[in-house]
Amino acid sequence: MDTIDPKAEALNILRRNPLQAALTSNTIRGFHISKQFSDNSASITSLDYDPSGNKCITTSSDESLRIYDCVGGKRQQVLYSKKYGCNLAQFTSQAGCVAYASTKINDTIRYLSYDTNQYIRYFVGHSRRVTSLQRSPTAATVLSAALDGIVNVWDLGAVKPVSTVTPVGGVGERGIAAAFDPSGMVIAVAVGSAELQLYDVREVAKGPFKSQSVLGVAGHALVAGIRFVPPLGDHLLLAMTDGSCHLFDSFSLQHRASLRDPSTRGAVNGGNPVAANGTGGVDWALSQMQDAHLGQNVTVTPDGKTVVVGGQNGGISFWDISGCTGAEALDYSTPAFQPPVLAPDGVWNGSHDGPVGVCAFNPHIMECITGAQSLAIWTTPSSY
Amino acid sequence: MPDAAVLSFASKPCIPSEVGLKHESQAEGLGYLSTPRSLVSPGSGPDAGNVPATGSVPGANANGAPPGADRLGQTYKHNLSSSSSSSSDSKGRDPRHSAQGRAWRDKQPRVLGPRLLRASLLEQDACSIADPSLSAIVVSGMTPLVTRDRLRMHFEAYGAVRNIQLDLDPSTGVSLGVARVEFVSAPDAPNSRIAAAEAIQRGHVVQPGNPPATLASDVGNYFTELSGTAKRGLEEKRTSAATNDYERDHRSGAMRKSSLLSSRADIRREADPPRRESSERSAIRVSRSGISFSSTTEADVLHHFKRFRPTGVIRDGGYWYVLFSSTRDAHRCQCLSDKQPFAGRAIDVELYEPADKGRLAELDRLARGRHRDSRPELEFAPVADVGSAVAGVGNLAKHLPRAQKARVFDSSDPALYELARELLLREVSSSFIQDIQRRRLQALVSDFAQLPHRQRATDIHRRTESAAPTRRIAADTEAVLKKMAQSRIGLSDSSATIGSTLADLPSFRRGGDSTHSSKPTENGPAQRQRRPTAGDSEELIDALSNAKSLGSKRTLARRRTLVSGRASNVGTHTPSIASGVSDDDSDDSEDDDDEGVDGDDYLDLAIVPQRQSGDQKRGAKLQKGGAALKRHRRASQSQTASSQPGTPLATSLDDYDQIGAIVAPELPVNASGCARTEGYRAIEPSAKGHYLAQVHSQLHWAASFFGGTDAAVASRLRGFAERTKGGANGCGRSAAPGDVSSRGSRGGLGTTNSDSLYFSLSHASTVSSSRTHRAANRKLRVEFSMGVRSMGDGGGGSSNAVGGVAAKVASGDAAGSGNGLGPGMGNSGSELLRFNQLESRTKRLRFSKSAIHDWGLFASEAIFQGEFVIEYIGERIRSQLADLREEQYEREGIGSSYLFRVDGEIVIDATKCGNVARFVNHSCEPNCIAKTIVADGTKRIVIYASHDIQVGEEVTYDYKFPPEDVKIPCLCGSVNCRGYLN
Repeated sequence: MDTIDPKAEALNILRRNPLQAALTSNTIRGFHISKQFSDNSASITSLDYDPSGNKCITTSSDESLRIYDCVGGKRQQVLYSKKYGCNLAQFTSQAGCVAYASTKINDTIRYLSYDTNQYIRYFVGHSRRVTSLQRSPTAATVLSAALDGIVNVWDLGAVKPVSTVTPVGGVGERGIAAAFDPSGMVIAVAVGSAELQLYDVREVAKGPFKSQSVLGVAGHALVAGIRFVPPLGDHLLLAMTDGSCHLFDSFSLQHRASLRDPSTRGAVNGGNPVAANGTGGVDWALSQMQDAHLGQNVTVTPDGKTVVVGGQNGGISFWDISGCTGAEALDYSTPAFQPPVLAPDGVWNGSHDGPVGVCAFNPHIMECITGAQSLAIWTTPSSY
Repeated sequence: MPDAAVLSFASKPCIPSEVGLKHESQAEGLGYLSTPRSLVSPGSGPDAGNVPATGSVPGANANGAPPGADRLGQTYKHNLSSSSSSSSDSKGRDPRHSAQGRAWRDKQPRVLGPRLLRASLLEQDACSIADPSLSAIVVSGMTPLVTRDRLRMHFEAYGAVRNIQLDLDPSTGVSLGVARVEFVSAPDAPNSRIAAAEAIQRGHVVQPGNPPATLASDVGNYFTELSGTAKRGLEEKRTSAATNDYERDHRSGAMRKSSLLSSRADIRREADPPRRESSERSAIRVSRSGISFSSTTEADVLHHFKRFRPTGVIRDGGYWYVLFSSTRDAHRCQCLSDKQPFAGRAIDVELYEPADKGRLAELDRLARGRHRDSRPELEFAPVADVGSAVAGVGNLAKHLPRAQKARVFDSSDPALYELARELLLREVSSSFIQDIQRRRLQALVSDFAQLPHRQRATDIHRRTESAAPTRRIAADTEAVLKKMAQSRIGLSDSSATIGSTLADLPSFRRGGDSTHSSKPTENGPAQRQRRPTAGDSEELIDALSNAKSLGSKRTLARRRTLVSGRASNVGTHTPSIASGVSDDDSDDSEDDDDEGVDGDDYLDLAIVPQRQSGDQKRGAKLQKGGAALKRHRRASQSQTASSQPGTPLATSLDDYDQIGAIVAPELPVNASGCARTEGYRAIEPSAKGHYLAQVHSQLHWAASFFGGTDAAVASRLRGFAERTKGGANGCGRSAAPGDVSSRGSRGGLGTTNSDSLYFSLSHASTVSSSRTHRAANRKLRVEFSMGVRSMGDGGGGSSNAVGGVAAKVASGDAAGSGNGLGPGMGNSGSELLRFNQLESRTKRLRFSKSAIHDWGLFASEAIFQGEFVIEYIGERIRSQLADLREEQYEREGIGSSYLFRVDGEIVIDATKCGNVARFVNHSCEPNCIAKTIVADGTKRIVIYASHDIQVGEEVTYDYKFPPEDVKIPCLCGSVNCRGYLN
């Protein structure tokens, strides 16, 4: 049978069209900082790309939201939310609007039109700090999780949540994080270091259709963030407060691998005995999670093969997880399967001068943006 | 299956459809969310219950399904297997296994190879910390003739090119037709990737006329790959070519290029080590029957092939043999000169590869013996070439003797001589005769008719002077022709006849002449380059006849420049215009070497435009005009033009033609024939008026309005016209302001100065009716606006000029009404023009003592109801300032108030400057009404008649003062008088 070499095919395409770039292990290795913005006076706390990948919005501890043009690499707009603070800004399916979590006054989610700089709506429903906020990849909804132990799905047109879950039945003093899967049908919720739950978006109230205890995967570290591995969302990536990441099968919730950077290990107080007792309280959990940047420093490339994590020392490490996600790579079904602990496959050439709080790979453009206090756009040289 | 996947991957569009996909799936997601639960309730869907794992997922078990597709089936299986074991679920089902979930999954693009993303197109700016991004494309399939410069030129249209790496054969330096072009992002250029993409999309035609090049982005070491292939191919060809016989290869066009490469390559290789002596001796041969070679000498042939470095030439049997020290040279020579013209004909060059090498050696020996003396000449040839490359047509003659041996006319064919002679004679004589007929005679006759007797005498003298050079040409030409003919046949007679013809034509020299000054620089080189290779007779003849006809054309142009541009210059060079002209020429062709200049010289001398002397004299006369030189020159130009109808000069000066025709009077003649000898001499006003009047009658309506011939009017107008012209010519600063002021000071006195022009128009010429008055004003307005427009072109200073004129007009008007108005009516001409627009509608009015109060304004013509009477003109000031001024005026004792409020901000103050409208008195039963209108963007106060006004009736309107405590009594005396103004 005459097989076509996909790589050769890709090469052909690339040769015909220089406006495209192929994501390969080589290109990942070749990333370097092309542009750097030192706009912010405090560290950047979150970054989100709009669905087209042409724009991104950052939030910062200096209470500014900045919108950048990712194509040309230019700052487009600066908004301030001095009164409420800002974190976890998310573009929504509604053009020109952004939802973000407050950090001051109350824990309302603000829905802002950045075109007019006017608030459209406040999503009221959380009584503690929001730790996860994500738009639905397919619908006009927003998912939020907060330390009050509640996961809400908001319709962009309504002030009240369309559905609410309380996965832990109490305050989330062990941390909580939630994410949509790429199809927008499933919500994954990670509660503390204990449990991973999957909900059907339409039937949230019925409880998780699948849950799995993940206790012991990361010691006593709390969950900092959760995200599905694109493009299909077959895997879940759990970012923990100790800086490690854990790869799960998103169907069986089986633990597949752990990603640990030995150099940054212990930089975060992961094995705190207080945490072990679970008596640290919500504030402690919050500080833990914020130290771990709410998982914002973990990103997966659009092909789902590389995990890029911003480290506490300013470096950017990457893991090639294609060996763990491939169907045939490992025989997971054997009970004796032990998830491997992977060391980073490499470190990007260049670094920030502080902890990298934000790391996000553009879903459509060969760009990765990282942020400490400064914002850096990483690209590859064009010869790949 | 993989095929389909790859296809979808390949055809997956880059940006837009991604977004589209998003929308689509979004809609799908909404559908998913809004689907009623009953529809997907357990048992109803196809995936309900524990359907056998692989079977339930369509396509999942297909042969060789990609991992993405496989995944679902697997996990499903996995779920099944694990569901029984540990999971604490079973509260619902995984929606990803539902129909929608699978549909979504199917829609996702399957990527087998590396995932393609859009390349980042970051702009280079202050935030960039990395080097500007580079993007390289590989150009392949070019001909070897495409150079780096060509590539750079070509691709710089798409973006900033940083580097071009043109792959060269390492041994020869010949392009392999593969290049790498690096685009770089620059602040003012598009991103390098965009540039590269554009180039790839549209830049195929690197070299027009050749098949388009292949362009690709340099991804994955494409360039090294390609150039490696090219080099390897070259190597292979070279080795194969070495073994094969070249001849066959060379015949076929396809192989020609490669052999060219290889042969050149060998030359390069040869260059470094000293030539191996005759070990590689080889030869080409050219059939003698292919061309009439009978008289072609070895030197000629050697010269023809000299760039291939032949070692010798020998004629033997029916062939010319050209010997080379290496086979490669021979190959190269064969390859490049086969079918190429030699002495006007394409020759067949073939490699001579005799069976026994002894034959070659023999030929070589023979050639060496013969060419020992012809060699040096060959060495000299390049030098001669360089000379000819810069020399003009004239130096052809100089080179001929040298090159004569073979190059140009070395045919013993008598027919050729005959032909050459005939052609030459025909061409030369016909062009001469045409020339004479067309211009010389005519011009000469008119010149002679117009020139004073004395001038004629000098002219004749000059002609005799210049006859000498002419003879020189004749002699030269003769020599040239002789040499060309090599005096084998009786061409000497014919050349002598030509020569004598030329000699007999001295007075018509102009025809053949100035031709030539710029010609050598323009099209000389091309011609000259051709000469060494193809020295046919036609070419020479062509060159000569070209020179003639071109010359005649040029004469015209030259005369024109001479007249218009060099009038002053001409004066100085009276006795030797020829030298003046050639001065100019040598400027043009500075880089000419000596020979070239020589050649130029004699032709220039030959061409001395006799006519120029006439022009020159006129120019000299004109110079006496002094200040009015420019106008003068125009006039004289037009005269020239009219005297020579049909020349471009005349057509270009159409406008002045008529004027010129009128300007008949003789201008004073200088005793010495040169204006400079007399220093400055003013043109008398009468003389000036004579032509200026004519000029102005064409330019200005007013002359015709006043009867057209009145010199006084004309001179009055002159100021205006000159200034307008000055503005139009951009040199208008001149004396306009000063002029204005000086004239202004005289303004009150004389009636003949231009300042009072307007006054005389509007007031003095009482005979004119109101209608003509308005018409005159309209025309004036048009004139002004035209003047303003041309001033706009002319430059800054000019606006003052017309502004000044307008101001004068305005002040003249005011003066006419008995009040000297100060300056400051308006600073810019345009404002005054606007004023003028309304002013033109003004009725004729006079002011005198009024029964109502002090002075009043009275109608001098009947005014009908609703007609415009006059505009209230004054300084436009702010109301605050008006208040201050009112106080000030009161302090100064100016009792009357001439402040007119336009609106809340603007007040018109006519106290110190304004027009007669301020004398209009108040009446409680007025016959006029004051209105505010907007004219030309500003609010104006105009007074319209509210009733019919008889001649002599006082014009009044209602002041409409606001009520105040201090009442001003009204003296209007009307029946319904309110008693007070306020």
